[in-house]
Amino acid sequence: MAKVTVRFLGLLGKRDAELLEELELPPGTTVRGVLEGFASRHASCAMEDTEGPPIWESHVVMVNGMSLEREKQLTTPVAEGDNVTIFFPVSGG
Amino acid sequence: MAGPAFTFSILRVDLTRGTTQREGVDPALMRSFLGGRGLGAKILFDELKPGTDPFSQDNKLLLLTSPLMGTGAPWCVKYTAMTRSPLTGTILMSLAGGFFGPGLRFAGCDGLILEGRAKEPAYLWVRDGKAELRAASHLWGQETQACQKAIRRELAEPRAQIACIGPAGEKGVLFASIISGTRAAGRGGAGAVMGSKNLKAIAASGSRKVPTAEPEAFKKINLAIRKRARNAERLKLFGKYGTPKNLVVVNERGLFPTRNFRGGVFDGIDRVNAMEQQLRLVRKVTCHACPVACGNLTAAAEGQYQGIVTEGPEYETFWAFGAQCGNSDMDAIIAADRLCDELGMDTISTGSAIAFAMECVEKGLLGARELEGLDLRFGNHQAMVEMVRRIGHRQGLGDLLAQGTRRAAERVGRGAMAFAMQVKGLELSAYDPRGAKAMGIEFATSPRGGCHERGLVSRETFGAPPFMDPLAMEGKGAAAKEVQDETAVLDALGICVFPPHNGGMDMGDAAALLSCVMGEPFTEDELWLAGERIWNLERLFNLREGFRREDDALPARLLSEPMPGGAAKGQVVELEQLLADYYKVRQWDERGAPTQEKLDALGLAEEGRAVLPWLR
Repeated sequence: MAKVTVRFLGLLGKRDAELLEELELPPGTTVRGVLEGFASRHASCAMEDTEGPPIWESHVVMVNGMSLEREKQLTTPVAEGDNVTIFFPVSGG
Repeated sequence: MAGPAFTFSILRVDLTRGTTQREGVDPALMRSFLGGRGLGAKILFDELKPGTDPFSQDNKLLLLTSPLMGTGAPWCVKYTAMTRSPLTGTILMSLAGGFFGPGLRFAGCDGLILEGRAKEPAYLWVRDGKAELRAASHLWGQETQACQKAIRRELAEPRAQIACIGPAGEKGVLFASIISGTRAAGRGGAGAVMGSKNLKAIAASGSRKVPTAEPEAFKKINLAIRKRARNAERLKLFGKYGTPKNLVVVNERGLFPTRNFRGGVFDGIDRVNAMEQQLRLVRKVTCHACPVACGNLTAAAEGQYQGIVTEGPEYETFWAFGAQCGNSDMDAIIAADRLCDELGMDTISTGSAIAFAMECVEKGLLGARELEGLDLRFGNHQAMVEMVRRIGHRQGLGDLLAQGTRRAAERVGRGAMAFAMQVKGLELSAYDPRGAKAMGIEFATSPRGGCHERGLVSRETFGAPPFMDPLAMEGKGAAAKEVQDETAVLDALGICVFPPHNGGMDMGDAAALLSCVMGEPFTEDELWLAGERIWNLERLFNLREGFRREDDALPARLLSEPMPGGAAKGQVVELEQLLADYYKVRQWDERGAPTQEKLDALGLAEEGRAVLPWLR
């Protein structure tokens, strides 16, 4: 099992939230798997069977601070000690 | 039904003689340069002699609005202060939101050209299209909030909008700002130029209805934009927290400059972020005609700073007095922000100058003699806040830092320039370009020096869609150019950049609004071309002042010290490669000068012929 930290800075349905979760995942779990797991634990998080786009379309994912093209990112497996950040991007600084 | 014909008129104020003159702006100029920053670039290019000392009587200070401002169009609120910067020697454009810009238009004035120098401290009262200079010796020395209050009382105009300087502007701190309400035209020292003219403040009062050539069509577009904005998720989330929302994101992306740009990940981020700010929220704050209200009035919660209230801090200020100074005491940041607003100083330059001094202390380059009892090390928030005060009053080491980081590094010597985090004299802001390569281009080429605001590629820094790899080199020249040109348009029209960058409006909306206000059609393409025209004219101004490719530089630290950790670990900025790409996209030659052909295409043929033949 791989220990992974998931930080969520996004929208759960219409509500914004910041959450931090420590997970133990089976070997080979992909980023997509992490997102599906997160969405299933937080039912209000928009998935295909609810209103709105799935979380991987509305949010941006970083693994250890790095983003990839969406498809490449989703199929990448996570590894022991990875920090996965799911955030809803806004511009302004 | 057609409204009144569009006119744009400016008051030219000779502070030396105490006279004012109203001048209508040629409609062709408005079409080419739009207003605000664009019009200001044209006026300064035409009227300012090359080599003008920024503090001489010959320098001019412009305060300009735009055709959209005060019309009720959302987010068209930012007036522009323009001059030759005393900090950088470049052209300077410094914008502020709030209420002053619209207030100036309601007072019957679309812009001001301030010339000469008043013999005694004075302030200008613009009311119903007329201007009057009034004595201000009794206001000299006052902080910005007290000054604004005193003027409103004196004029018996409780609703007057006032832009003023504080002690820092009076004393010539090179990064002194102009404060209106609690909003700052912060960067580059426009406040010091105002101080050099003995001008303490400008008050605007009046209730003119700002003209719109096609009011019915305008109303429809205005309502449609506002309706759409209500459903823009990104804009709504932005409004709830404002700019501090991105503190955590930029830190996670590993490009949050820490302890004078020695790293890109701040270990105090859990104590300095938007959620912590929300715990201290007094109320939300808005600018004129804005349905977003991203501002936060914040009160310090604990300890020696308890009860200090400030509007903000914004993202950059949280960084400047937080990660940049190694400080994780949020209440100290609130106190430093308030102090900068009261003294009238740019928070980015102030915080960065202090961080530079902290590194000098650490390296033994500043000692007991300069510090006068201050333990100025990274993370010491008491010393940091005290240093803010000393800079504002130019006391002791504060007098050195008030000259800006570049001049301070020249004085300190012994290798200090390598970690003076500035470009052309302007202190860098809160993004490490080792972790966001287009930001390297932006810092190096921004017309006022090391600034993020004239071309912030949000896709890199904040992960805004569509995806862009912040560490990749390809396409960064084009990405930088696109946002720079877009921002030049938004600035010229006085439009806050946040709504367009969060799905609130787009260039088509801006063109439609402008068409209705001016009563003649503008296309998106024309606006994009105007943005490019403005950028190139500002470049010509700087070339005329002697700036060249070698001035499109970055501090040595960013070029040769690899990022020590985080997502950008091992990265430096490959500046030569980035600039070559960018110059090519801009159609600039190897000197960093636009080609005459490019200028011809932009309608700047004459301006080009006045500068290009004289370049060495």
